[in-house]
Amino acid sequence: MDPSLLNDISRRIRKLDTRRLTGRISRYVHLSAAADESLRRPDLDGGRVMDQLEACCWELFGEIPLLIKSVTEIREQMVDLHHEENGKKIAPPEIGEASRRCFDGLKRHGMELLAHLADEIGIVQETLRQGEKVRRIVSDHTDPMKRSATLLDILLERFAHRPTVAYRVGGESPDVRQLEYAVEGMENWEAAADSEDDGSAESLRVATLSPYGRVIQSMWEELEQRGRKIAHADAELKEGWRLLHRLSAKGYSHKIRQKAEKLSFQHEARRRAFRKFIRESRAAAPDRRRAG
Amino acid sequence: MPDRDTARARTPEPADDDKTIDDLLEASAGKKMTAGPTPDAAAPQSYRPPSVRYYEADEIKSRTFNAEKLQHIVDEIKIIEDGIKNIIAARTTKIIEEEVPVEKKRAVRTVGLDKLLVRLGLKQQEYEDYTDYEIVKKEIPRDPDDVLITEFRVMIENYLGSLQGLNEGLRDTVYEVDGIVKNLTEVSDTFTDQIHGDRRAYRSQVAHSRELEAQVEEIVPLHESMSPLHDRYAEVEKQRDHLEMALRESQGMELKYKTNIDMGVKYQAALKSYRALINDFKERGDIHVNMVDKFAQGASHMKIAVDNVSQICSGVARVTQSMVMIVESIDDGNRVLGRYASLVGDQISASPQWEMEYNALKEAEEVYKKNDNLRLEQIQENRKEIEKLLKISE
Repeated sequence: MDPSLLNDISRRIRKLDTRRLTGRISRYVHLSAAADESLRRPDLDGGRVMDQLEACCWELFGEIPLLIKSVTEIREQMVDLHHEENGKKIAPPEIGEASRRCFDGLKRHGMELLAHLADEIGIVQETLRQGEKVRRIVSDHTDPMKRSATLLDILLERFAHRPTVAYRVGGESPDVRQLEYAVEGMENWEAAADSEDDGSAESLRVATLSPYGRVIQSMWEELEQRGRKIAHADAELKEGWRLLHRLSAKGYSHKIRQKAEKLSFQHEARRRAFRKFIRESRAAAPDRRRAG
Repeated sequence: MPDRDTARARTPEPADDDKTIDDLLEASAGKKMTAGPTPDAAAPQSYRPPSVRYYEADEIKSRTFNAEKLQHIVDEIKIIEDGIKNIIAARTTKIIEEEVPVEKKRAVRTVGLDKLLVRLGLKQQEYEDYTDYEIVKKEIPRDPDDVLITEFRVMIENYLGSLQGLNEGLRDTVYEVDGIVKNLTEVSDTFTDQIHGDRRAYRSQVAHSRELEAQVEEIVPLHESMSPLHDRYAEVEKQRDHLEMALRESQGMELKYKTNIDMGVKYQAALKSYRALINDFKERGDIHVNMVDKFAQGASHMKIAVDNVSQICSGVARVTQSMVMIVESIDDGNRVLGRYASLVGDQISASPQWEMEYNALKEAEEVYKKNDNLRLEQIQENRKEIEKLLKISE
């Protein structure tokens, strides 16, 4: 095995830093929440938060492809790693076999982690993209919606007071009749409409944003979760690689095998979840084809 | 008085004049009158009252003038007027300016040596309190009596104006909201397209994965069964590694597509319910705009009705006033006649006093006759006016 390949991969893995990404994800979630809050409450300074949010998005969308590229490159190099004990005498067959199995295990572990990292980062990118799109739509609509809600507020308030309705002028002329008829119609409509909702535009304003709000809420939680997953994956990857490096450089040992098994055990849950997801999605897909 | 009436009825002459006087007396029923005493049969022959009747009885169409009906209308209108004034007073406030005492400080005026010392800064300037009066505007509630009935029209106009302005604003925003609904429909369609695209890509990715899975399934047993010492072992191992990486990549793509699809579906659902709410809001706004339009129409009719009311009020006041004047002048005329009749009845013989009285009476008679025609016209005019007003109030 080419020692420079090993060192090269070591260097790349060392340089791989997901902390900036996870930091930015947290900042994005925080700013996004602040921006939403400023949509609801006009007194907060929405402009500044929006600018910061835009900047954060830009940084994220710039950072992510670079990370994905690094991860992919490491993968492509790692795939060609083969088990060799560097500069050591060929050990007895059992040890050699154990060593090889350990190596393969660690390599597989590393590759899967790299794939997992790439997936998660890619999903974060998509989540951000879609979320931003929807958020922009809603924030574009908020202004006219707010204006309409205010006007409707005022109108409803006037109808509630009804200064002119309570007084029946009591005349026979057709004009007065028409006025009474119009007023009666308004009263009937209001009575009917009141029973459907509480008639307050405030609740309407809140109601228009709530389904969007729920979805956005879950998106933020997901983003934070994925950020954490990425951080864990990164740490595990580095740990696994250290072991692999030691195995290749210093040789097989019982301790190494123990640690490797522990890592593999930790990773097993991920592996299972992934396979389950693939299986269930494929099972669901044929139904979609029939329905869709 | 009844005695005199019956007494008069017994005397046959001068019947025509008495009849006229009777008519007059009946016509102003209920009004206190200085009744003239019955002319004595033995009137001095030197003067006879003119035989011309003061007016032809059938020219007056309404024989009995019943003021009650008019009073009734006036009363009703007064009630409406009071009601309207109360409304306006309750809804508006008067702004008055009041002088309010305010405690302030000012520098004490110093003279001579003290002034110099203060200027130089050797002595401290003293301050004293004084009471200043500031003019403050205060809003106080209004008295209904202060209100003019024309204010109601102005109030309605202002109210209508602001309501219409509001309505225009609402109409504009309803239009904007309609635009939003259309935009959301487009966005939803875009989402649908995207979801369908992703689904197609997902399915083809699954197919690709399955191919790779098949290949991996072939190579793994082969690799496992090979001994590391085999010369092609490295090649097979490399092949297996690459295939496994490709498979994992393909499955990773499946994961990404599927997650995308789920996310798109969620957003689309949220946007759809959001759009439904906005649409509902728009429709409600639409209905309100239409209702306010109708209301404004009706209210402007009400404005006209109120105008009519104020016309009636002032018209009635005018009519009543002129009727009162007519009745008063009739009163005067009656008094003149009564005086004359009393003089005649007292059988006052020709004397300078009599001559004076007689001349005065003659003059009064002339004046009364001159006003006759005027009065007649006035009465007819009033009749017409009353008819007109009654027609309006129907």
